[in-house]
Amino acid sequence: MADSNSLSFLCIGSLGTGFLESSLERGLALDPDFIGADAGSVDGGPNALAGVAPGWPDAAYRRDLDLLMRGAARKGIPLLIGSSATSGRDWGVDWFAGMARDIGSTIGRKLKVAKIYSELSADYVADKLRAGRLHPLYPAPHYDEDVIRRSVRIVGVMGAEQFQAALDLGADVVLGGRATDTGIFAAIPLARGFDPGLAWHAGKIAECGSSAAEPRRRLDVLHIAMERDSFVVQPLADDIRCTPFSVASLQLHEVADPFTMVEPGWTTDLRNVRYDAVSDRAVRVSGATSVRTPYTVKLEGVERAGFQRMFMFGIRDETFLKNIDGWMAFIDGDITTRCEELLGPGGRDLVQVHMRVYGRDGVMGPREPIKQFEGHEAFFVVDVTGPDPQTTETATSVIWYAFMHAKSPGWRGGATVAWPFSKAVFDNGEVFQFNAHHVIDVDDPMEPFRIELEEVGQ
Amino acid sequence: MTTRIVRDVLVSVRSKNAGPFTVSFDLFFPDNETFHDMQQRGVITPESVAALYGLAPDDVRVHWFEPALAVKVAVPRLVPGGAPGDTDVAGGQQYAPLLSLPLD
Repeated sequence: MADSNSLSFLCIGSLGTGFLESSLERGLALDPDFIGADAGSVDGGPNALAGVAPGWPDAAYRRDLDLLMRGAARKGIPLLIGSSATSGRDWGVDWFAGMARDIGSTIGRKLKVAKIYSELSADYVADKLRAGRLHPLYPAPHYDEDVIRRSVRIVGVMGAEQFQAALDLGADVVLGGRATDTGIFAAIPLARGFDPGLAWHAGKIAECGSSAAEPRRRLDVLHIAMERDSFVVQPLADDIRCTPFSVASLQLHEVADPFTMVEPGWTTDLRNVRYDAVSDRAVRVSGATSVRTPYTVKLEGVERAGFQRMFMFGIRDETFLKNIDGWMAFIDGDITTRCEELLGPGGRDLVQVHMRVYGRDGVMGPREPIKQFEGHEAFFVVDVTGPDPQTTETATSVIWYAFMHAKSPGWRGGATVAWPFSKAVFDNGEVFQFNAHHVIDVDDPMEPFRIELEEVGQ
Repeated sequence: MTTRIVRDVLVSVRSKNAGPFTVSFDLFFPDNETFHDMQQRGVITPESVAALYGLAPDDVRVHWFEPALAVKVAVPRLVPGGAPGDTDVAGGQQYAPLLSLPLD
């Protein structure tokens, strides 16, 4: 295969959010060389990596995985999945492996499933820090050994080489831990000797499936055909098409700099790329160049931020609305006094309180440029985060009560706010925050990762 | 005559996190002429974005990207996505103030 001049593949942009079965069938009829599927995202915040919940429910992942495994097995081609169960944590790889076992047992042939684990121990990361082999990206939070030790979970983000290693072991299905979106799709083109610039650029266009097409409907399957000096992108559903603009716009997707793409061991220059229409629904892409760089692996980490409760209510009385900040300051004294009564001296400072006033600056917070409030009602969402569930429960009850029968500087007495549900206070449970935006230097791409192989089906 | 604003010359806009610490906005123009006009006009610059969002110009990255007739603006998030105090976990609405920048 190494001397082959063409290679094609099917791209699933977000495993678990679905695609048309008819598009997959059309793609398989084109005899692709592999199927790649990205399952990862950090858009939903730290919960997935922390372990609160995966991105999507069992049924959603299982439906997509079932169709892809059957299709790949029927064509005898590999299926590569990156960032299993959204965060790529080890639990997600094992969860997907369990589904692969179930599905495999109904396919009627033996399949080798490779699991690539990406969780890193605190000791391993601390050693990198002490050795000067851990470096911040921009913008990076403060990172030291204390941060490493209090992290609930740290994963390394794999690139192309780890998928290649799994395929070298004979894997039919690769279930990757945390992976760059692009590495999933670049791995096989790179291994087959296609131009690295084209392979990485194709990976970038592939990573969101039919997002490279327009108009935007549902996410669906995208087809990419690699040639020696370019690649061609087309959607598989009839009601969408790729145009030079729609494909080029993917170069902007989820990056801060659209001209330089930094991946583990490779940096790609996208300044001189071309997007040319080859039909009314397919686009030829060329011009990217990649160079090898020292191998680094990005870290993603989460730590516990505390235990959180929240409540919400509306205000319609303009006496309050005319002076929202004054009103909130007015009741803050009551909150402090009552917190000290229940939690001891300094009790109020045991918790962080965040108040969002929708209708004023609930979306933008301090970045809202329109400072004055206009309108006849406002909606408040208040959350309270404390060091343990009991402190949070106590403080939240105090703060909620202070708002509920709200005193107002504009009235001799007060008024009661409007809350929409009998359940007034919601327990958000344990909450987390991302704490790392750094890379580590590694001697070998596999150094931070582990591959396990298992056979499913019969 | 009413003042024209950035909103008036856009065909599409996208806003999303670029990792948990950065939020980026892609503003798409309808044609080459508008793209180049906007690029030369100096309405969307590190300085103008910084002033609008209360940042230093060094914190703002602006890339004009002709193949998609778009400008990309990237700024640091106030808090990491989904941390306590966040108002917009995926960074989906943070572009909105840019739309009101006057063109002249």
